[in-house]
Amino acid sequence: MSRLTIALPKGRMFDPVVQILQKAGIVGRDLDDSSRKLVLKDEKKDIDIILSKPADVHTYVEHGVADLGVGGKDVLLEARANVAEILDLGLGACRLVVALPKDKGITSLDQLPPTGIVATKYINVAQSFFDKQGIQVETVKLNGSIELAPIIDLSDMIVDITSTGTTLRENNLIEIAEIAKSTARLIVNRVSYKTHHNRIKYIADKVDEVIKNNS
Amino acid sequence: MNLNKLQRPEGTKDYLPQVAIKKRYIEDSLYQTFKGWGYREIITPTFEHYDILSAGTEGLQTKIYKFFDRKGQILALRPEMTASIARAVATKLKDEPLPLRLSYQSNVFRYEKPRAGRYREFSQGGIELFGVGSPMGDAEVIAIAAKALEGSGLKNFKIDIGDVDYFTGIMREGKLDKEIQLKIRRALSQKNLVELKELLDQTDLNSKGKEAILEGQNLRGGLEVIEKAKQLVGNQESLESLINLEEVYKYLNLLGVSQYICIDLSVVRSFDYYTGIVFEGYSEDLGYTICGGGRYDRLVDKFGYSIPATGFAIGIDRLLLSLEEQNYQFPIPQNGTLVLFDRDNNAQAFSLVDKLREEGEDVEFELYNRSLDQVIDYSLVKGLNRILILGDVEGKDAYQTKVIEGQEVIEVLLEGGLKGE
Repeated sequence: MSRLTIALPKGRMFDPVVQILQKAGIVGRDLDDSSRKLVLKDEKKDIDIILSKPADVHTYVEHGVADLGVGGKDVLLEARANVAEILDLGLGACRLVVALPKDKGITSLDQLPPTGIVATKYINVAQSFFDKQGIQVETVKLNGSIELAPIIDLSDMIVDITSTGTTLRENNLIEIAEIAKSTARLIVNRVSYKTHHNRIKYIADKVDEVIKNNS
Repeated sequence: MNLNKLQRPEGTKDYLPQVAIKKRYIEDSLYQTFKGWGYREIITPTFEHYDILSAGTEGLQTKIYKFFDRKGQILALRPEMTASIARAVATKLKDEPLPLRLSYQSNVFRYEKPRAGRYREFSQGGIELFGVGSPMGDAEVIAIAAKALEGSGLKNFKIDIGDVDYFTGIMREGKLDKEIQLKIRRALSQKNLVELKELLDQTDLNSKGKEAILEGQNLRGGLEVIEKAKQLVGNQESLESLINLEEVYKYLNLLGVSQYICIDLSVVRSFDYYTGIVFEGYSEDLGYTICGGGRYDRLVDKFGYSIPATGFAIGIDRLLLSLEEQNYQFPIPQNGTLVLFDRDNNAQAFSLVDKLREEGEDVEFELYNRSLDQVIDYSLVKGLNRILILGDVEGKDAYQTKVIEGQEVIEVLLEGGLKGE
C-alpha cells in the first residue's frame, strides 16, 4: 500500500480534527500545529500530514499534492473546488448569512432595494446567491472585519459566517437570510479516490464511526 | 513596448524547443495509434458560430471565449472538438458510408482559472466513432484510449468505465421529479457524497433505491462489480446498462486491454451530455484525469442527423506532465551535426550536407566563422553530436581526418570525452 498525504487546517479546527483521526486510528502520533514544520510524518501509519492554512487545504487536494484534506464547506463553496466531498465531520458548524444594520429597518430579502453593495470574503457565494434571488448587487472583497463595512458606509450589507450571532449583535447587525450551512468536510482528490479507493473508503468509514459515537 | 505586454496572456504557455519536441512526439504517437484503427484525421476551424459550439459542450458554455465578427455574428473559439466534428459529420459527411471513424489533434480554448495542469489554451488528441450504437463500438473506442496511452509510453494508468443509465434508471423507477433528479445528478458528477446523502434523504426513494445509488459509489473492480450491482437494482433500465457494461468489458478483455480497465459505477462525468457508457483515464502520478469520453447519442441529432456517437479526448499537456512525472525517457534521437567550412569549400560542404540530411541527420551550418573552441562550446550547449570541418579552421590540427560520404573532413565527436569537460 502506498503512502497517503493528508492536508489539515491549522488553527481552530486543528485539535478537534486530529482527535477524530487519532480515535479512528488513522493517525498514531501526537500532532501540534504550532510547530514550524509544515510536513509531519507518521511512519507507523504510513501517512504524511501537511499543515496548511484552512483556506488552502482544497488547493492541495485538488492538485493531488494531498490525497485527503479537511476543509470548511464555506471555503469549498467559495472556491468551487473540484474535489470529492465524502464525509461531513460535523465540526466547526456555522452559517453563511446576509446581514445588515438594524437601523435600516429591513428584515427580509424582498425589502432590499433593487441594487446594493455587499461586503464579503465570499464574493462568489454572495454573487450567485443574489443572482438566484434576482437582486442586483455589487460585491466588495474584504479579508476580515466584514462587520465594519456597513457601519462605515463601505457597503449596504454583508455576507459572512456566523455561529452564535454574537459578533453580528455586537455590531448592531441583523440577519435577514441564510445562504448555506457549513461544517468541516472530509475532501479527497478525485484521482486519489480512485487509486487509493479501498484505503480512503476505510478511513472514511472509521472516521464516520467515531463521529457517530461522539454525537 | 512596455514589459507588461511582453508577458503572455494569463493561462497560455510557450512550448520551448525541448518541450515542443516531446509534445510533437506524443502527438505523432497518438496519431499512429488512431490511424492503425482506421481513424482518419479531420481538421476543423479554430473558431465557429457560438451556437454550434455551445450545443455540444458538457457544461462549458460559461467558459467559452466569444467575440463578434464585423457582421455582428457571435463567434467563439472551440472549447473542445466534438461539437465541431459533429457539425461536419451532420453536413459535409452526411452522405459518407457509415461507420465514420475520425481523429483529431488540436488546441482548444477555455476561460478557466489557470492552475498547474489547467491552461486557457491547451491541446487535445482524440477520436469520434459515428454510426455505431453497439457495445463493440464502445469497446473499440475505450481500447483505442488504452492503446494510445500505452503507446505514448505511459505506465501505471487505468481507465475507469461506468454507465450513466445505471443511476438514471434508479431515479426514473423512483419517479423522482425533474428538479431533484438534476440535483442528484449534479452531486453524483461532483462526487459530493455529503450532499448526495442529504438529497436522497429528502426523496421518497425506497431504501433499496438509496442503497443502489450510494453503494454505486463504492463499486470498483472487474466483472464481479457488475454481479454485485445487479443484486442492487430491479429496474429494466439499470439492468440493461449493467449488461451493456458487461458486454463492453468482455470485448475489452478480448481486445487485450482489460488490465487497464476498472469498472467504476461512480464515473458519470456529465449527465446532460452523455447517454450511456462513460470513462476516464488517469495515472497515479497526476492529480487530474488524463483522458475522458463516452457515448453521446443525442448530439449529432441537434445538427439534424440522427446517428449514435462515441469518442474521447486525451489532454496532451496532462499526458506530457504525467510522462515527465514518471521520468519517461522520450525516444527522441539526438543526431545533430554542425558543419564548418571556409569559402574555398562551399561546393563540397553543401553537397556533403545534402547527403547527410538525406540520410536523416540534422545538420546546421556554422555561419559565424567562429574559432573551433567557440564552436565546440556552442555545440555542447545545443546538444549536438559532432562537428565536421572542411577546409582551414583554427585549432583543427588536434583532430583526426576522416572520409565521410566520399568527402575528406575532420571530425570532432562531442560524445563522451568532450562532453564531460
